[in-house]
Amino acid sequence: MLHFKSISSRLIFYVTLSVLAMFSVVVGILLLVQTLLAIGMFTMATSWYVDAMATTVEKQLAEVQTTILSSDIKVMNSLGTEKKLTAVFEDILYNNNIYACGIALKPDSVRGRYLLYATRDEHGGITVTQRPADYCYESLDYFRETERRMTAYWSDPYLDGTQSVATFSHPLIGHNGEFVGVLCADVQLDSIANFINTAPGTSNSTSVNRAINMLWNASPGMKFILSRSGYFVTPPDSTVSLHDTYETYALRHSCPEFCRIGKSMVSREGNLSSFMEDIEIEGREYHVSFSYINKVGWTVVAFYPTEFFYGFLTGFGIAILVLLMIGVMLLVLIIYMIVRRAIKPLEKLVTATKSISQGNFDMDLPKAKHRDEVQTLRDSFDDMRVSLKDYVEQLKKTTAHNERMEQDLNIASQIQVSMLPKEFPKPPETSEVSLFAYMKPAREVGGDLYDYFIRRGHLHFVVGDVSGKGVPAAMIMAVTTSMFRALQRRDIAPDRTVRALNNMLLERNSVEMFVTLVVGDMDLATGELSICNAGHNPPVIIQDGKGQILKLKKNIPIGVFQNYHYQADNFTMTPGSRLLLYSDGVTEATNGADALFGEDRLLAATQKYSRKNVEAQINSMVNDINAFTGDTPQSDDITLMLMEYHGSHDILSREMQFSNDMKEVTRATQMIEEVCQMLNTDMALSSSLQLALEEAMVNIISYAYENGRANIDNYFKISSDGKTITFELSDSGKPFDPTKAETPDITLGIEERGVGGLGILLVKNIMDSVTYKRVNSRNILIMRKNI
Amino acid sequence: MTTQIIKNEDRTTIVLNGRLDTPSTPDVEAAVQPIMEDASVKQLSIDCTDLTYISSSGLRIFITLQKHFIKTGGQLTLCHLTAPVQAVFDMTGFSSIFNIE
Repeated sequence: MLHFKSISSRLIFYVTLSVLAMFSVVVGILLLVQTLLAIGMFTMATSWYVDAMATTVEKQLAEVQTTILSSDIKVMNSLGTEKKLTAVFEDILYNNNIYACGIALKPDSVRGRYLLYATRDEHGGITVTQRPADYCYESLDYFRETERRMTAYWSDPYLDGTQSVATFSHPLIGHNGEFVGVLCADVQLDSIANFINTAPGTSNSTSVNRAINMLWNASPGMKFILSRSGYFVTPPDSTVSLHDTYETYALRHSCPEFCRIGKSMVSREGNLSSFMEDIEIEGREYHVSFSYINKVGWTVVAFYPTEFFYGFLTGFGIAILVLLMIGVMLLVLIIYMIVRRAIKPLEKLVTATKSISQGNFDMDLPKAKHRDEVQTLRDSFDDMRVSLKDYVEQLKKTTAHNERMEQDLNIASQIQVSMLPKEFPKPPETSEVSLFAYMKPAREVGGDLYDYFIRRGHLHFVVGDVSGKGVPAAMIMAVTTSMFRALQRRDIAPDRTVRALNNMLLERNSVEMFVTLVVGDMDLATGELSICNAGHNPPVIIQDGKGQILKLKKNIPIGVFQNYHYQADNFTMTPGSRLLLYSDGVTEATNGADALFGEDRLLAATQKYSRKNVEAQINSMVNDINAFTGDTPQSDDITLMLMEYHGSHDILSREMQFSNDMKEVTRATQMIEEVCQMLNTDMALSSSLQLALEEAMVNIISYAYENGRANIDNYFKISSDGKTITFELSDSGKPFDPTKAETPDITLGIEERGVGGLGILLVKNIMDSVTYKRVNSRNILIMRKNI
Repeated sequence: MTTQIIKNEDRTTIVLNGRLDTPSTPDVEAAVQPIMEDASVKQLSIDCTDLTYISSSGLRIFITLQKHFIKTGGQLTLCHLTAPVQAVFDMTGFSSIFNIE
């Protein structure tokens, strides 16, 4: 299949092809007809030509005959008188066609042997000669043959001296019908040959003959006359002598066809049309025409070479083809120009629409000159351009708006993630409890919440679920989490916390969303747990590898009734027991068959992985939930929180809150002194422990708060399991890790020594381990000393 | 914490009694300030027999005094350091800076 890049080339191709095909057929037919006509005309013309020649020659010969026959009487009357005969001869020779004439008398006739003849010399003069009496002519062919025939006849051509001639012999008949002698006239064959070879006579100078002459002269063929015996009266070429017949000629030129034609013509036999066809002699093709001269039994033959004629035809064909080509080329040019003209506005339109497609909607489309299809197309495009412009404008606005929303949502998601604690307590930093939590929102932001913190030996935790999903739920989640933290700083019991949360939420919640939650407070020293469930899924307790739903007092979710009296449950966690809190996204996780994960599977998973640490157990449970749901999209937020109480090994524990006042140092060192007395440690240890604590505490009091801003949110806890003494200092000041601070070079001399950094040097020297962490915006420094 | 200054003809003695911790440092600092202002004091002894505790802020007073006497060509001697105080001096490398008897 042809592939065109433009309408114009396709149009030009097909139109040219069609025109070429039609032209070819027409020209072919034309050429055929023309060729047939031309061949007919050619054949006819050559026949005419030959006929004309034959007629002319015959006329000449007829004149000769007439001259001789009419002289018969005069000759008979003049016999015996040479003078009279000469006068008759001069009359005969008056006929220009006759070259010589003479009489030969039968020897036994009146005059005896007598031969007189006259010839014309080159100057037109006439010479009369009498042959001597002994010249024996009666045995010659012309005499004997004439006597035998007793009628006039033309001899075959023969050479008379240098002249080739043919003789017309006429018998002279006496009064009694006896043969008297022969009157004969010679005709010079050269003049006939000349005539034949030049033109068919001036009298027949028609336009056809002129054309034939032109043809003939441009490419001469062969013209000759054959005698009735097959001799050449006039030769076709210079190689032919008077002794040659058509047979010898055919032999010499190895052309049996020539022989066949010659024979047919000479004998007047055979189908004349049989050699109307072309014959080939020595590689050249000829068209044969012939005509009879009946008086003498001669045949005028013309061989016209066809090559010239066909060459002429070919030339004509080529000329027509060239004309055709030029015509087609002109046609292509004209079509091209027409198509260009028609397509030009279309191309302009294409350029303009390309520009539009690249977003240039302000581009003006070119006006078409005529109200045609292009103009309609242009108008349609223009409508489209305007619509597109509006549409893209709208789309840009919407996209920008959506992008902003998405960005906001991403930021919200990040904020939400950052609100959740990511570091979880575990031994050795927190020896009493391990805790791990997991949350996966169903959308960018979720309505589930969890939080925990450890403060003054208590673990505070919450797991909740805001009704609804998405941004509104996320905002309520953020509010609830913040309120939870703020409330728990006041060291109030979970039931009171929930009550306060309920009232605060109702005060500020205009959209009437409610929250289910579980708030708990565990004393790490004893494992005593106070827990309040506000409409949330009941926690699972795992003891000795067995999980069971914890039956708690039922309360309504928060954010429903003002001043609702929430009630808490109290029980004690035994060391090694675990508590699992979760949101309904876990039990209501759905698989492809619309089955729920449910409490049974949750309990099973809880028991199955209870030997793992809390983080590994949560991860395994999450894997189980994911395996259950498969490809089903998560419909609700999933939250899990698991804690294990390891029990307290402390035999002694004291805690104090302190403000950023130096006097607090004395209180703290006294507490250490008391503890050391209770533990029965020596004085030196007590003294150095006091020193270490004083240095660490002075650091906080002096530097933690900018501009000495008063702050009471600092704690010191001392505990001991009998083998070690542990200090825990906690402050809410600016982040500072004393373990990373530079200590001074103690080998320097007095001049170079400053007093900075000595405190930390002393702490590190005295204590066996010093660790720092920043948890929930608090600096927590834990120092241990082996007793 | 008490600070007692005993001036003899050729030697001045500061007797420190109690715990020289951070809260008590400002008082001690104030008490020893006249000594640095008194050019006649060339020989100073600090009697630490009853100094049971010292913290880094307390050490600062000792450093200030030592730098003062090096500057004025006087001499500071510490005597009778209790074990806890000696330990602090050792830990901080101050044992080699001070003249301890």
